[in-house]
Amino acid sequence: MDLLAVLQQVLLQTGLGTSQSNAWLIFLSNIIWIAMIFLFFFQDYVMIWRYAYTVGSFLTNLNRLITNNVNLVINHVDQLLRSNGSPKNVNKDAIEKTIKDLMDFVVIEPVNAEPTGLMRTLKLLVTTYNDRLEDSIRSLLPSIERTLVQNVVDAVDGLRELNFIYKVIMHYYRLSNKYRNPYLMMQVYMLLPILREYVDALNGAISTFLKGQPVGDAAGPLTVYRFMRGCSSVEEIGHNVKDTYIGLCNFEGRRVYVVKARGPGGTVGNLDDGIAYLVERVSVKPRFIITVDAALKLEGEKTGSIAEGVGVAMGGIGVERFNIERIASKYGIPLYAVLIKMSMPEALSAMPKEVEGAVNDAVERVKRVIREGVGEGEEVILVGVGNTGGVAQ
Amino acid sequence: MSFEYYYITVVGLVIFIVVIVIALVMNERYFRLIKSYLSQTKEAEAHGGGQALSGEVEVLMCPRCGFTKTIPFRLGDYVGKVTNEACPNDGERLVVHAIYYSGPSSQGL
Repeated sequence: MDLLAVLQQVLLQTGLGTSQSNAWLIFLSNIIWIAMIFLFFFQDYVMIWRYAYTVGSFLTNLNRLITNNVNLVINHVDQLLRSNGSPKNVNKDAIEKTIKDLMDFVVIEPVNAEPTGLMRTLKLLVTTYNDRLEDSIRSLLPSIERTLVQNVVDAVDGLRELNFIYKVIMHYYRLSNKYRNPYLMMQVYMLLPILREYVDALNGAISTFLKGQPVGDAAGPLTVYRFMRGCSSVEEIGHNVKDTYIGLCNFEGRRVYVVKARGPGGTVGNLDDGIAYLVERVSVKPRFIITVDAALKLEGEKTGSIAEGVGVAMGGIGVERFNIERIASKYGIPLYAVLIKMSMPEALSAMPKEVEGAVNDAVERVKRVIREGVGEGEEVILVGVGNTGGVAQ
Repeated sequence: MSFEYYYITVVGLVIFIVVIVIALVMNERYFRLIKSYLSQTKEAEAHGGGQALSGEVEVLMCPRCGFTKTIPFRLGDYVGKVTNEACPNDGERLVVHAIYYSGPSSQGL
């Protein structure tokens, strides 16, 4: 007698079934109800298993994504070296080591208990970090033109960000398992949709930077570029501000000083230093400082919608914004902002068509603001904020 | 078999299947898959079966007459680059006016 027949006999003996035909149905329904009661009383544990499974699979995918992107960067560096006539046997291990070292590179926040001079310290740290990153990539690509090096620097910066996210999430995942604390896992689980969006955005950004394509964040520099095409004359102003373009543009009799990061290599420039140079060294007396930047849209807002306002349109850690605000308040210059709305993935990935179309609207808005607020013969500063990768001047 | 046994079995099975279906639909991964499938279908319908130029594209423009030409993105091009292509109207060299992405968003994690 096999096991099923024994079970059927047991069911019949215990009175759970009155005949052989319906004994199985009653047994099945009992199993279902027991399972449901089990799920009801142990749903917390079931949820924790699910959290752990979801976070674990996120980490596995993120790890795979980082590995793929590291390989992408290594192959790109390899191709650049080969196209430049370097020896056939490129040392990939050395490239990988450099990139992995840069991925673990840390920037230690300055002490903020005593805030005097904090912004100067932050600016120094940011500049040092950027220089260090570029020098390391430059050592891998010694005879490659700077534009291409800057694109690789941006890609490695994105990799570093991905690696940081991976390490932090892994930390809480392991900590939760170590102390059997479901609440740590729960917090990470709740953050996963936002993290996933950010990781997707960074993933898109790395390949976009390597290809030298403009990202959505390049909307500000692109606005300035297109504005300059509408000027009757444009001349570049000589200066010593790194990675920054400063030009003088004649727009319907107004003297428009344009400031943007110097493209087409991927960089955000030193826009605050550019404005300080114009106001303090060239003695420009602008009627306005107009900043144009990509801004994160709220859910429900349309990609490519434009908002105007007062203040400095600029993201980041706030060092440059602080410096521009300080100059403006010191000399009493009104600040005007034009924002082009987009989501985080759109800002970091290849520029979407909607944003490209919105740039034309932003140019028209800037022209209107200048026509309305700046008289003929007066001066104004126009700043294109954002990463200028893929956009020249 | 009596009606009660049929009833309890069928109700139990229905509840079990409904719970499983809800769990599958609520699971984010399946939800994302279904959503992306539907959005891709809509995109394909909107573009008439993919006849329009989509993906990474660049717009070349003649600085003199404003003639524009949309082509797939070429590695090494950037906005403001003067290309070797000539304008069919006046022979002026075309300039890269825009580079953008047109199409459904890519899938990540």
